[in-house]
Amino acid sequence: MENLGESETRALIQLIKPIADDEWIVGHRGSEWLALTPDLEEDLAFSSISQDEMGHAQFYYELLHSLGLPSADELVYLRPASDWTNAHVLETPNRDWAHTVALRYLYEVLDDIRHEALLGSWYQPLTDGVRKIRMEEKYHLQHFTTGFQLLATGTELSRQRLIEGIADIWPRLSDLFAWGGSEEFLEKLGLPNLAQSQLKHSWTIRMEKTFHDLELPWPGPVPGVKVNGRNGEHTQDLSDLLDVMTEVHQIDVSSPW
Amino acid sequence: MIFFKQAIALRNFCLCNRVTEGGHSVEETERTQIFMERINAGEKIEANDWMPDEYRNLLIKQIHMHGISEIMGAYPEKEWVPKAPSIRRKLALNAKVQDEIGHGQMLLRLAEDLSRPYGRGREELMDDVLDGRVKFHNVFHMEAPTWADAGVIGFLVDGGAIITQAMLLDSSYAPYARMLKRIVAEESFHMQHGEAVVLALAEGSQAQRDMLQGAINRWWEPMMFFFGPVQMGKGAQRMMEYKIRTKSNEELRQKFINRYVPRITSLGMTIPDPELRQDPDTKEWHYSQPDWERYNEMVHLNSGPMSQARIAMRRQAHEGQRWVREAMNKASERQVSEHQPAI
Repeated sequence: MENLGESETRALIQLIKPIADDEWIVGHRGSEWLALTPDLEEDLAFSSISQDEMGHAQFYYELLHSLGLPSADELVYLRPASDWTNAHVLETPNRDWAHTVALRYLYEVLDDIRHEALLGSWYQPLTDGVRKIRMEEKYHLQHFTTGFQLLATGTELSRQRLIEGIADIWPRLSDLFAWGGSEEFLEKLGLPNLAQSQLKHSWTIRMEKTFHDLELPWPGPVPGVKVNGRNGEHTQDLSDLLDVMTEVHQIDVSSPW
Repeated sequence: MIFFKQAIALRNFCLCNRVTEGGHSVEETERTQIFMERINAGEKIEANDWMPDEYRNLLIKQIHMHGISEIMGAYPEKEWVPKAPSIRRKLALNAKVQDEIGHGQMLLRLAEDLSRPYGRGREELMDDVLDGRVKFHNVFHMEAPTWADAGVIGFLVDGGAIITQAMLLDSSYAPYARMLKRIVAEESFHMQHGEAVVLALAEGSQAQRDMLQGAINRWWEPMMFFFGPVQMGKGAQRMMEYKIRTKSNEELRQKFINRYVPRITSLGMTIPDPELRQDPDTKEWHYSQPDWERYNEMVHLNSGPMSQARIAMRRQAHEGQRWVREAMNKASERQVSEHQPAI
């Protein structure tokens, strides 16, 4: 930690913050499904996954805190929407189950690629955590891969709803692969595989195979970035989410809860 | 004791032979007698053992209601997960609600087993909630309007549940008793979670303390009702006779009051019952009667302030997503048939 130069610290923050925010928002939205999923067994599995995601976010926030940012709780509860760097599609309010499964499958594949690449980092506090996180993420990916396949091959209705979900999500996916500002920091960190073009390429190859195997209509290339959550650009959905999330904390920000 | 068990086993064996030879009513009565001898000797009944229909039906009623109450109990707290005021609290509350659903799932599996002779499974047992055919605990019909309510539910309701469930640990139905062992262990974590939330509020600002007192005021009376009337109904009495449960409603309520009066007062909070006092000789607590009529009606007619809203959430999950379960079943069936070896 003490050996890190200022530019390296900045680079690490630029790398970790969007990943932390993605994981937190995904976990938060997941927790909104509590007691509302299609069956009790899914409730148990999905709520474990949501806790894992928020736990991963907590790990990343603590890492950011060690790099000079405010505490994990402050990062979650006291930031305005414009300081959040999650991909904007993840802040979309939950719709039907097929929409959630589609979004989570598309996200988990990216998360898998991203975490694998992170293992190449020279920053050991990061790779130590990522190694543990990957053990859990493996199951998340498995869970949503299965869910995606079952909906695609289940009934006409489930397939139709899955296709509708994908159609809604696809045009808003682009900033999932992006970083805020220039990508020079990735070179400094020795992580060229995390470049937007690389991530998009690896992800597209895997998606094309899944869509082909399940005979799902291919929605085409992911469109260019219009709203970049990595730069703090968000929809009203994030502000609404933050209003709900901080409602109790805001009653008294100085008192412990 | 061993001799007694052997004797009963022998009689059961002979009886089985007689039953298969034909004739029912005499054997039925005799079997019931032997069953009651087993119960009175403190023996435990397993799922595959013969049991009188009345015993089975009482168990189904009890375990179905217990399981559904765990599931419906997820709703008042689940609403607070997105709003939990710190990372730690959010993860803990999420895990707690997950546990409650897990308890519901385990208990429903027991109820499903017992209901098999009636051809009723998970779908039907869950449909019963939506059709008002199974009741759930009065406390889960109530509003939980503040974060303090989320803490007080863990503190008081889970604390109360520990008391009622602890007496079921010795239940004559062994699968229920075994399951409760695990459930009670988890409930005590929930109570500690609730207590931690409550303590933080009690030590906090005036606004936090007021919020806590407000929640205690809301939950005390429903908790007095929670344990049921002093004069227990016929079903509850039969459950005592069958040793499905082992303590009276009033014994449980007294235990609760005794445990919680010092806990609440030591937080610097008050209990909203001017009549509450302990007899110095008998140690018996005197308390104001809850509004029996109001809460009874609430439970029987699902007419509490939040009954319909929470049933609507269950409907959204169960009925609204039947299409997902159908798709899952269809896809799984297809996968299995595709993997069948060609004949």
